[in-house]
Amino acid sequence: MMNKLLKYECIAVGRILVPIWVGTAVLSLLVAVTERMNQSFDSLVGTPVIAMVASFLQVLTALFVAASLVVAFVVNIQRFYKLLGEQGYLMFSLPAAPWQHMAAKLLCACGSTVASFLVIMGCMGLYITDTDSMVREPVKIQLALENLGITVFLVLILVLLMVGMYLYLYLCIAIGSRWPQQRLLASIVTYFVLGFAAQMVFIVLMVVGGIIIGNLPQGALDSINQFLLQLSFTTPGSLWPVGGAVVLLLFVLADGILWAVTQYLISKKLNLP
Amino acid sequence: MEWNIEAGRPVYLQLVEQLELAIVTGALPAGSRVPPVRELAAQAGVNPNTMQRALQELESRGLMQSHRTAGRTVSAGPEQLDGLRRQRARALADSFWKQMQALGVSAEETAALLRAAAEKENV
Amino acid sequence: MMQAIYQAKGLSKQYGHKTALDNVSFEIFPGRLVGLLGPNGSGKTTLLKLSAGLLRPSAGHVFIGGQEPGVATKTITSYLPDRMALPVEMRVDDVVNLFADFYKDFDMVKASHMLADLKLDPRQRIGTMSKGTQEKMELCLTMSRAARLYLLDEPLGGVDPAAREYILNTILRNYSEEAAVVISTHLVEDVERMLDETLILKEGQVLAHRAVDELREESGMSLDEYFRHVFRV
Repeated sequence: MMNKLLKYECIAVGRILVPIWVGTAVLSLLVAVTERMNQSFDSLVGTPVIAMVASFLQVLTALFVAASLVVAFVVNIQRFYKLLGEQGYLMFSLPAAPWQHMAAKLLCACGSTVASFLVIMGCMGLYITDTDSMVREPVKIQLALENLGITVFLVLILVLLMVGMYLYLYLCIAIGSRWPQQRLLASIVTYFVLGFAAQMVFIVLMVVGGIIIGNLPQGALDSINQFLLQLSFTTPGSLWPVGGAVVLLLFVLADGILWAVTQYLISKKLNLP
Repeated sequence: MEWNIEAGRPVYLQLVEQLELAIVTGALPAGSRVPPVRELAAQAGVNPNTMQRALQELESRGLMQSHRTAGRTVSAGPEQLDGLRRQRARALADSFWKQMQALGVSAEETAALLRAAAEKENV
Repeated sequence: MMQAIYQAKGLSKQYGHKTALDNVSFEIFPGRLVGLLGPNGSGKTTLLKLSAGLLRPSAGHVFIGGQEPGVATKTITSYLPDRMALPVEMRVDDVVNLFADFYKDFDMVKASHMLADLKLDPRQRIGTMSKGTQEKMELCLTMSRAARLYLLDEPLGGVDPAAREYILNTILRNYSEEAAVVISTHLVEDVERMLDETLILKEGQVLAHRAVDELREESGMSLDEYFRHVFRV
């Protein structure tokens, strides 16, 4: 069932995204070609026409690059919004559980967003020449073996952030659909209210945490310090993985909560307008 | 086959009448296969259960016969057909005469009118 | 004793302070054609949406084949919503494939025949069809399933009288035997002849759930007359 849902989801999203990707790739290729032509001609004669075409193409390419990210994002959010609207009449009649619809949409959303990124990076690779070491060097460093750990960590964080971003918007839409008459407005209001509430909770937690730490007996603080120091002395560099794992776990936890609440809303509280 | 179901009278009775008529007029000739219930019901735009009941009524009158494998056939014999025809004709004549009476036309005049109509048809 | 294919038990639905369905209980048995009748706003669509699993009841339960709406009931229920729900950007054959993909009881041959009768080009996009054609196509897909329960919400809704006959014929020819069919409509006269029973809703409550023949005999009125009589202003 998941496979079929995913297939239809990918077709629906691909219909819109693939042309943009192809456009981006073709434009990038043209930019690369004009750029090289420009460089080789430049030394012989001035060629303002080629230069003009080149800069025009560059602007257009930049637009397509921006579009492939923005459209991927908008389309995927819209797919979930439509699921809880008109399109739900077809989709929720299918013999699939609500969580499967959500999972298919989330997978497709993340997949197509990542794909958009990869397409953009691939396209950039086309016209970044060897001389642009400013770009190449950092990439090389990032991919070097000794930095692999941190790179993987960063990628994981980015993925979890992306998942969280989509899930947060799904949640807002799911809550917004509790008001079928003003679904869009309710979803947008929810977005801001929830965001504000989350910030407030965060601030309160920080303050409470600060107060607790401030009020801890000196002995306890000392022993925590002692423990951390000892840890970093005895096994140098071991704090990084531990800290990283904790951060990742927190992200996973946040994503999990978002998923659980949204799934509850669309399965136990489903109300199509 | 043409169906004409009106509101106000039981659908079942109208179906029996119209099936009978179809058998008498030869729209459903003796010995022929009767279309499936569902098809007849869809044609007439009526409930299949009602159509089924009407067909069963015709079976119990001996006008149709149902076979285990071959569906239903019209089994009315010539005598039965004749009887049915007469019965119909009488019913039509009765209702026609009532309408003539309502118009204030006498029996003689009605007979003359009928004769004239029949002659016109023959010419 | 035959098992009811459909049961509603104390079913209620509120939208905010507005009560759309109020403690509705009834049963439907296989092989029956049921007319769900009532004026606009009497709760017909709400009842069908609750049964199709697109809404959750405020109180009470729906059981289809003994189960509450979910994956199991959706595999045996063929639901026609009161609005066009096919994605407009999809082509005819895409939608047919989608139905065939998801519903095991979908009869591809039957569907192709019906769509050919409608003179639909398989590569045509849904969005380019007239509203009437879209509705007919949606009905054909709904009726191409060998379901055990058909829930048809206003199948005669937005179509002209000529198309009504087509739609009723399609329903009568194609519902699988032993299945129950629920048709909601306010065009009583058009469906009267094909119904076994009627469930009349008034302001979210069951006003009558009767065999149509019985009701006609007792009231001495056609169902249409009875309906007008009950709801006269």
